[in-house]
Amino acid sequence: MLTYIKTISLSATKAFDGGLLYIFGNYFLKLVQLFVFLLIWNSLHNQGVDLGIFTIEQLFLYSILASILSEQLNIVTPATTAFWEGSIISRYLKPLPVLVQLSAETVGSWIPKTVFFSIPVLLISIRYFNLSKYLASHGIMFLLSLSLSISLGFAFDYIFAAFVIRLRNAHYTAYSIRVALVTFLSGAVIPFDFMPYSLAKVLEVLPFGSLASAPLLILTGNGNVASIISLQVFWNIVLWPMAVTLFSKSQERMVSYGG
Amino acid sequence: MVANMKRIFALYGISAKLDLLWFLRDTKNCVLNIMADLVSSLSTILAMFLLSQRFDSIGGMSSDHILFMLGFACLLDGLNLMFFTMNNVGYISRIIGRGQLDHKLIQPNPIWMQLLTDGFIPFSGSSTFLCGIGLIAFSSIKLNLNLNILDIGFLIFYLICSVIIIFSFSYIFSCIAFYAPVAGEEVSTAAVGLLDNLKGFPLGGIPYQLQIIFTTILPIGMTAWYPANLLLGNKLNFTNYLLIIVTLSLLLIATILFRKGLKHYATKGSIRYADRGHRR
Repeated sequence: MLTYIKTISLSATKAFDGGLLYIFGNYFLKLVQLFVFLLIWNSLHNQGVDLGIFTIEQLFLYSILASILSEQLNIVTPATTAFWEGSIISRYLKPLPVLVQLSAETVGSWIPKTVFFSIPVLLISIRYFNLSKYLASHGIMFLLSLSLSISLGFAFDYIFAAFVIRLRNAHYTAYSIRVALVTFLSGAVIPFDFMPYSLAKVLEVLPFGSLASAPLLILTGNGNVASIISLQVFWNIVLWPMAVTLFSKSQERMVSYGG
Repeated sequence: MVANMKRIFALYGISAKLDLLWFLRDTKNCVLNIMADLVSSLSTILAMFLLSQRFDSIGGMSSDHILFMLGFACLLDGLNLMFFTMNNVGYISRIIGRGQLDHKLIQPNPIWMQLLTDGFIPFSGSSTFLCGIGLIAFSSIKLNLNLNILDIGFLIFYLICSVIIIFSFSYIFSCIAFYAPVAGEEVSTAAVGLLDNLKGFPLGGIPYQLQIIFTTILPIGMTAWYPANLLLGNKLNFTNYLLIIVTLSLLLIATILFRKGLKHYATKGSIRYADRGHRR
C-alpha cells in the first residue's frame, strides 16, 4: 500500500515540474470558461426560456461540479502519453502491476487541481449556490455514483489505451478524438436535457452518459437514482473485463518510437 | 520588398511540398490526423450549436445567426491550423522555452519570415477551414444573405484581424518564456486555449461591463462574436472600429514585448543545452 501512496505522491509533485505558471494558467482558463458558461445560463434564464428539469441554481451547480470534477468525470491516465513518449517501458521494469501503477499515477495527478482549484470553487459554491443543501439531500448517492463513474472512466481509458497500441504511431490523433468525443457525449459540457432532436434519450443509455451526466444529475436531484446507478453498475460489469482482456492482449503488440 | 515576397512564397511552397509528401507517403496516419483536427475543432463549437437549436436564440442572436458565427469561428480555427499550428509557430512559448529559438537564429531568413511560413500545412490542415466555408455558406443561405464581393472582402479582413488577435495574445503571454523558460514553456497553450474554447459564445446576453472586458483585455468576443455581428449588420454597443483598434493594440504590445524578450535571449541564451538544462 505504501508503494502506491508513494507513487501517488510522486505523481502529485510531478505536476509542478512544468512550473507554477503552467498549472495556474490552466486553472485560470478553467475558471474563465466556467464563468462564461454561468453567464450564458444566466442570460438564458433572463430571456425567460424553459430550462426543462433544471432550476437556474441546479444548472449553475451542474456546470460548477462538472468543472470541479473534470479530471474525475473524464479520466485520462498517463497510458497514452507513456506509449507516445516511450516511457511505458519504465512501468514494466517496476515490480508492480502496470494498470495499478497507471491508476495510482492518475490519482496523484488529481491532487494539485483538487487543492488549488476544486476546493476553493467548492467552498464558493457552498457559500453562494446552496451546494450544502444538495449535498445533504443527495450526497451519499452522489458519492456512490461518482465512484462508479471513476471506475468506469478507468475502464474506458484502458480500452482506449489498447486501441492506441494497435494504432501504433497515431497516439496524439486518437487522443484528440477521444477527448473531444467523451467531453461532448458524457454530458460534461451541456446537460443531456438541453440537447435537441431527442438526442438525450440515446446519450443517456450510452456508457458515456454514466461517466459525467449520471453523478451530476443525482446531485442536482434530477435523475432517477435507482436506474442511473443500475446502468452505471451494468457498464462497469461489461467494460472492466473487456478493458483487462484487451489491454493484456494488446501488450504483446506494443511498439513505441519514443521522442 | 519584392525579393521578400518571392522568398515568402518560395518558403510557402517548400512547406506545402513537405505537407503533401506526408499525405502521399503516410496517407493512413495523415487522414487520421485530419479527422482528429476536424473532430477536435467541431467539438468546441458543437455545444453552442446544439444549445442554439434547443433554445432558438441565445444572447440576442437567433440560431441561424449563431450558426453563421460558428462558421466564422470554424474558418478562424481552420486558418490558424493551416498557417500557425505546425512546428509550434502559434505556440511560440514552446519554441522559446525549449531553446529552439536558436534553430531559427541560425537560418538565413529573418525570424518573422520563418514564423510566417514554417507552420503552413495546406493539405493536412485544411479540413476545418473547408468545414468553416461550408458552415458560412449554409448559414448565409438560411439567413438569405446575398454576400457580394465587398462582404467577402470584409469577411476576409475580419478573419485576418481575428487571426492577428489570437497570434498576438499568444505571443504576449509567451514572452514570459524568455525569462522563465521552464515555467513558461506551455503558457501559450493556456492563452490560445482560452480564446479557442470560448470563441463560439454569444456574449450579447451578459452585462455590458463584462462585454468590454471580453472584447479588450480577454478578447474572447473578438474571435467570432463581434466580427460575426459586424458582418450580419447587428447593432452592438461598441464602435465599429473596435476590432481594428484591439488588433493593432495587441499586435503593437506583442511586437514590443517580443523584441524586448529577444534581446534578453540574445544576451542570456537558453539553459536547454547546459549540463543542468531542463531538456538535455
